[in-house]
Amino acid sequence: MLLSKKVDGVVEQSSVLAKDFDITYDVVVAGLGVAGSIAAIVAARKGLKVLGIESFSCMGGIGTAGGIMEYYFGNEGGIYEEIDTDIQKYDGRIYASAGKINIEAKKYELENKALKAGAQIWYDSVICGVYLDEKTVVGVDVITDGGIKSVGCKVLIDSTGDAYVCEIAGCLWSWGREKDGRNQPFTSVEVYLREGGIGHTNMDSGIVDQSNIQELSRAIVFSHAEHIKNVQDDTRPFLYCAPQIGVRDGRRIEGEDKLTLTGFFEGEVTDKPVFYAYADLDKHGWDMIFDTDILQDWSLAANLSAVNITVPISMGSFIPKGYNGILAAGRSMSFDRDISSCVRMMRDMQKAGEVAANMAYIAIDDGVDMIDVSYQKLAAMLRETGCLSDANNKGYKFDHPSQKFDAGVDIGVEWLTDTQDIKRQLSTLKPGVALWSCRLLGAKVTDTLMCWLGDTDKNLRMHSAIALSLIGDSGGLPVLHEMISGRDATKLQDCRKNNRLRGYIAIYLAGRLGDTAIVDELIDIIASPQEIHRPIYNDPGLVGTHYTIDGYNDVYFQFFSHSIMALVRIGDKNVGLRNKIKDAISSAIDDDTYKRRITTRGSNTAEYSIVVNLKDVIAQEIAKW
Amino acid sequence: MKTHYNLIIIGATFAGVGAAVANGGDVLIVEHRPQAGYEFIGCYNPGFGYDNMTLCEYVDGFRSELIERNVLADGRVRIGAVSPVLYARMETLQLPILMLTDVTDIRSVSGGFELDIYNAQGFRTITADNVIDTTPLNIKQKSINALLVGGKTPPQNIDGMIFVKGKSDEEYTVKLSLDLGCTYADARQTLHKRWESRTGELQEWVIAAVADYFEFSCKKGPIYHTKGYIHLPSCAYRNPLEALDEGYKYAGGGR
Repeated sequence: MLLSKKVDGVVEQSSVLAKDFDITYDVVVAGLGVAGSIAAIVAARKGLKVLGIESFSCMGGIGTAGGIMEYYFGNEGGIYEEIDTDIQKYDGRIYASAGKINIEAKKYELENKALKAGAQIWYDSVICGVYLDEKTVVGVDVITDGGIKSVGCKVLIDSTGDAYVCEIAGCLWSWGREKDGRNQPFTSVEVYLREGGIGHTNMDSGIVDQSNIQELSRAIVFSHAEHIKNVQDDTRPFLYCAPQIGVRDGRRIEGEDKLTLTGFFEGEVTDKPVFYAYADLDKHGWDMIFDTDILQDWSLAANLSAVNITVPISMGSFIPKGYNGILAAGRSMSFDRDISSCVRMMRDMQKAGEVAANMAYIAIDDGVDMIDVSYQKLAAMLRETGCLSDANNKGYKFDHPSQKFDAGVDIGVEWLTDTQDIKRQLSTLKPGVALWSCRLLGAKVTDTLMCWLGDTDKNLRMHSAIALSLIGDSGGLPVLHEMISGRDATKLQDCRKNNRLRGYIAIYLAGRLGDTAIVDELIDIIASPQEIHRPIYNDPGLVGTHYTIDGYNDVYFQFFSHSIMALVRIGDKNVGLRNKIKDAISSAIDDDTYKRRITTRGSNTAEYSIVVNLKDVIAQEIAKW
Repeated sequence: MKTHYNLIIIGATFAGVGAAVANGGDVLIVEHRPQAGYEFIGCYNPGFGYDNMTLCEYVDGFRSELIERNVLADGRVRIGAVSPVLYARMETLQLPILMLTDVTDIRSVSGGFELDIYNAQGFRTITADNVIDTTPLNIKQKSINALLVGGKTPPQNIDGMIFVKGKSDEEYTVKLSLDLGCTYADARQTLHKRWESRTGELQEWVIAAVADYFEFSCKKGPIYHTKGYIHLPSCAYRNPLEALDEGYKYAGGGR
């Protein structure tokens, strides 16, 4: 038997004699957050002997201790709805009314149901070691009640959020964004008293590597300190800072299946879904230049960032590759980072917990390895509760978090194939669906797009150039140049949030195509002292913003950062231009004055963090030359 | 990361923070929870005795800030609102702290102490010349508390539940006494059932938040384990300011 522990940041494995565990369970659930709390309840209701281990003092994670009182998309259906229904009777009667989800009532009810089902709960406890028979997890060491106890299990469900137990067990994993390893911004939630009950505010507070505890601790202190501006108001009495900060991404296991955004768009998805996740690719953070090309094509160039997608989730996403007796359930499941920004919503994470518990039950009941769990049996169980439902396969939709629509408005997205339909849409300020349709059609539509480049309709010309560039055709470059040199401030209108400006869309695409003709213009954008004084960066009436943040100039940041990244891409493809580009980038960022042009916010803020990170990552990219 | 400190403080409590501030640079606070000041703030214990306090200059400044920010007035405090003020001071001073970190063992060694700690980065051993543990010791009493809002009639103490007024007449804390062996789950379930069956003027009041931590009372320190290692339970003090002050004075050599 192996004992796997982490010591001084490194996972170490040592052979141990066969272990007599202090106590043995069928299922150990590590982390009783959004997914883990549901996993513990469902597994216990199946008659399994369940132990839930939680480092905090309550169940529910970000949905209770994290102060988040409402859902953001995700799909309906599943056992969690029973809990959400049951807690309504307490709202305003025992617990102060809280709007959509009464987190205090939920904290109570999750625990109530887990205990009634027979689950045992250890709060203030953490797993610090994993026992394995080769690659099968058989038990854990737990720091609890002033000591360390050894606990045997048939299945371990890792719902710690960052797959900490999978990591200790030696499972393969990836972390953060591919280019720079960074995570999305985290949130710090403030709960206050309002008329009729309690409310919360939820704001992005910074970037953190939560696996670095010094850094995490500083982030907690800093982000909670930011709420000081709200403590004075007696008309809005400050109740508390939510003890759990809202981390959005981190470690993801490499599973038996791994869904990527590219694969999703190409239709490489499972035909054996265990549930359908549903949301937009809700990736927070302004520095999209370091996102993957596919994500930038979708969110930036096609301006479809707020379009909801439906992602079928497979059993293999839960199973760490090559391992048995262990599942990841939560945002740490096996996806690439792009897809994980959609799949991580609370409704769907609760589903993940339900799926994991049922997988564990079948594996134990049938005496099979996790990879051999019967899909038919699992699907039947999940359909009973609505966790798996064909009605949740909603495709692509322009949706709204309130999910209220005008009657008769069709918000579903169908990709276009008819050139007249495409032309019609490209002629508007909502060209997104047409743009992506062109990308899907590829060479079939390039000749038509080339014709439209000469049209008198400005939108049609511009968007045809964007469409050509999305396809990878350089025929639209001259029109892209117009948008770049004119600093085109036209804001597309497809989405309810995060609509993009044509000017930096064009810069991104010119860079992708390795356009050498635009180099001097891009150098001007990043290095000319006059650039920052252009009206586009200083007149909010010209562009407007969805998020208004004091001390941060997003329009300038986007033009600046996309120009730098485009120059790097052009330099990657053109050795002869590298010295010129390198000198220009050095002059633009070496002296750090660019930072103040972009943001005056403090050094712990997400905005400051992205301007520092820009310099670091660009330096790394150029160093490869 | 450093491996040796002049002073390691166990518990990001008010006493622990006070000691860290007074000690200066070569200090580390180690805290199991993701919070500071939880022994008052996190258990919604507003404390008492804010009037008639003689405090050292640093803590008197903290008190003045609470008053200026309308968190403390006329001897009454909005305890949750103390939190950002505390964090802002910790941030300004860049106090070294490891949250979500357990101390699994402490050993006396020549010249000081070895502490085994565990967090998401794994096991690690750090050493210190001195250790101050500010967590509870020899607990005498325990309660689960909750913030109450919505009522007009002041609630009256009843059968194991006492009520403490917050900053305004519309804010109270209820404290439900518990057996020392009571778990969080038992406590939460009991409080829920007690509140569900409340009668009279208590029905005006609803729970805005149930505390994530127990309130403990225990004997004041310092309690000496061995030379250089003492216990100074922060929860033993009347209110956060007294705890901060005692920790500050202890580490500043006041005792």
